[in-house]
Amino acid sequence: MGLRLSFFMRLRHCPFLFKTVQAAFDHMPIVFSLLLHFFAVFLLTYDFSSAHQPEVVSVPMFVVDLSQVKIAEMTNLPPKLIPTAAKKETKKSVRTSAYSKASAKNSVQPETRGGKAGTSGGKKSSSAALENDLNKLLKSVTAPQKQPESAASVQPPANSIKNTGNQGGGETDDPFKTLLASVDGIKSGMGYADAHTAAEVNPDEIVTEGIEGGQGGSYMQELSVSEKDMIGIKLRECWNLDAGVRGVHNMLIEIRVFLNKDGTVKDAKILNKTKYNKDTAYRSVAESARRAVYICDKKKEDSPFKIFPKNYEQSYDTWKTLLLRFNPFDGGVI
Amino acid sequence: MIKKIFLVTLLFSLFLTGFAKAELSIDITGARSEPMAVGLPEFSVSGQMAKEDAQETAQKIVQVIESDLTSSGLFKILDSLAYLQSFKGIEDAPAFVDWQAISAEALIQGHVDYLSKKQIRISVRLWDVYAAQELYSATMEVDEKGWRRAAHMIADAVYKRITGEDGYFDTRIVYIAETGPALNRIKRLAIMDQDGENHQFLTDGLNLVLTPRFSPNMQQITYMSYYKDTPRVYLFDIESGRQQVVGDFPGMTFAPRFSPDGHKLIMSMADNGKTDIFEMNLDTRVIRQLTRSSAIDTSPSYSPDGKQIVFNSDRSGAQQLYVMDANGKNVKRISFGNGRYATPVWSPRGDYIAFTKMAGGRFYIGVMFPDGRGERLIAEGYLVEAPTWSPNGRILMYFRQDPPNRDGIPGATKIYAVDITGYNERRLITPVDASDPAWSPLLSNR
Repeated sequence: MGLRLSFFMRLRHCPFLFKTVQAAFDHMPIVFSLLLHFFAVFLLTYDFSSAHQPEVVSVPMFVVDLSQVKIAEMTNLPPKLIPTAAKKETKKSVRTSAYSKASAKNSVQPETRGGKAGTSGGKKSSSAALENDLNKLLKSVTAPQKQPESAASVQPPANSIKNTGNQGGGETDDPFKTLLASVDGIKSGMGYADAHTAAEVNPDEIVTEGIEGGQGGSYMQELSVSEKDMIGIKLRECWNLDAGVRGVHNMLIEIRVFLNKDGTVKDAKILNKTKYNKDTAYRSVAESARRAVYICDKKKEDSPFKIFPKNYEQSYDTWKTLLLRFNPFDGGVI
Repeated sequence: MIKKIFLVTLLFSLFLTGFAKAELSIDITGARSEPMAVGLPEFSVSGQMAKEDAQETAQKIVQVIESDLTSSGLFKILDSLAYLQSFKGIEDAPAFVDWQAISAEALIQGHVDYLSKKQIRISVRLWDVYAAQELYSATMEVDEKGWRRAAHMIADAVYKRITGEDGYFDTRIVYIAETGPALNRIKRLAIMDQDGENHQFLTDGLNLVLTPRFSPNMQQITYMSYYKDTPRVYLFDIESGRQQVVGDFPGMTFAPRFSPDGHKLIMSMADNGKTDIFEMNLDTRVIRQLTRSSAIDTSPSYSPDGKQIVFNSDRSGAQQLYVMDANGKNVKRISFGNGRYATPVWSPRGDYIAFTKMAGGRFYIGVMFPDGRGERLIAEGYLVEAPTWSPNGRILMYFRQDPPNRDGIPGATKIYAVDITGYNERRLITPVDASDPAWSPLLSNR
């Protein structure tokens, strides 16, 4: 009682709370009932399965404006797609080399280059860091380098540099020719770099690397209507239903599917257990729907759930549980 | 103040609903409908019998189960040559991957143990291959001679566990066996298992019999027979073979059928040019007239709860179907299509009424909902007639007569069964021409 009085004394400075609490004590049964209701609402609405997981940022359709795309050094690609350090270095050095070759040509310093393709005498003379870069470049680019050389359409920069170098001994005085040679060098250098990059880097990586909000980025795009349809159609093909079951016309089966990160099915649970336990016809249809989930899962790469790790690997939290609603007759029996 | 408390709590509850997370949901509408692929390997054997003999019994049991399940059209037993696993005992765990590899959706594992030379114990387990779950298991001890019925009961259990509805394999069919020339046709009452086995004639053929119907307890059959050229409704006791005429009516009585509880008989009686529907209490023999019209009211059939009756009448000028309460009130017409409707039968599960329809010179077997909606024709022919439901309301059996030949001799009559979906029509093999079949209740439910 004393505790109750002191509690009230503290509340007297806040008339609204004071009156509310007083009324609460005066109407204990109603308050108790309300609290029970509140608890029931909480139980019904709170998703316990995801309570311990970080909340996923839910962002509506994200449109990437290509003109505004920022190429960042940091990437948010999933671990599998992040290039290894060596690979990254290689790409970087490819870009550097293309640029440096063009620069080297622009500066027209034939006397500093050796006679061989891609020899970077100029770099050797510039600094030790660049030398390191070039050594790495030579190691990493040796194989792909030969490919553009043999291609008629793409002129390796080494040749042009070599030519320039050869000619440079006697014709460095002609500024126009030097300019042309430089432009050729730039063109071919760029072509070389592009061809090389395209050959070495996975197209997916090119598309997604470092593009904020791009596919495979930090935000999961909404599953498109066609993707949803595709999943629905594949599950429909896996669903073998006895069309003559009593009451099948009015049934709606809900199944919660728990997926592993690789898109395989961890578990499939039939919801509405009360009806499942009471109505044998419902149980029959529900079990056939659950079987459809497992049958589809066993289709390995053709499983409808494989789309998630394929297109939305980073957003596992958003698809690790799915609610599948099986409606036997809306779409007819095939 | 109470309102304020309520408001605060409500707002707080609504706030908490914010924790609820939207779940990715996908709708699947429609499905394929094919027989379910089932693995049914040989049953393992043990006990007081030579292994070869025990294996022979086990094989026969498997064959009956296979025949039952296949005949339903809902199951397809996979070729045993494709099986990657065989079982040595009922405790052997299935290698689900092996069964999935041959696309088996369910697996039936069984064992026959000869407790003595005359007594066997059959154990069976049903598995969901993809969910890797046991769906059903049972053990039964039977006399060795009862292996066939035991096999039917196992098939019923499998059927029930997979489809959610009672099976119908442990049932019998009573029908009219027809022999002799068209002008002097002999019609006898005959009975057999639903798969055609254990056939026997119940009457000698001296008197014409028609429209046999089982009682719910399977002990009696009611039918109409011409005795001394007067058609009367009779009761036939299956166990004793005794038959008795039902009541002493002034006119001719026909189209009898039992009430779902077996205590009443409903039939038509024709007198003074009128045909009305009567109900007779079999315990008290009290008769009650249910319809009073100048038309022909006939072919009455109770709803499974016994509260309503469907019948056909030409009171509107053409034969149509009507539904009324069991006391004869609230008569309501339910068929409005072209042609004539006859022999309505209420499904044991209550969801459909089956009927015979005559339109455009052809006969049809169809079903409609009890309120007349959703009419669907599922069999058609020169003459198809007299539908009867399987006890689970899933299969319709009827008879079909071929057109007469060039000499005008009527075609043969045969019994057919078709799934309610209209698929899987199959002929029931009978030793002689057969018509007017009636399906018994499930024997194990007796």
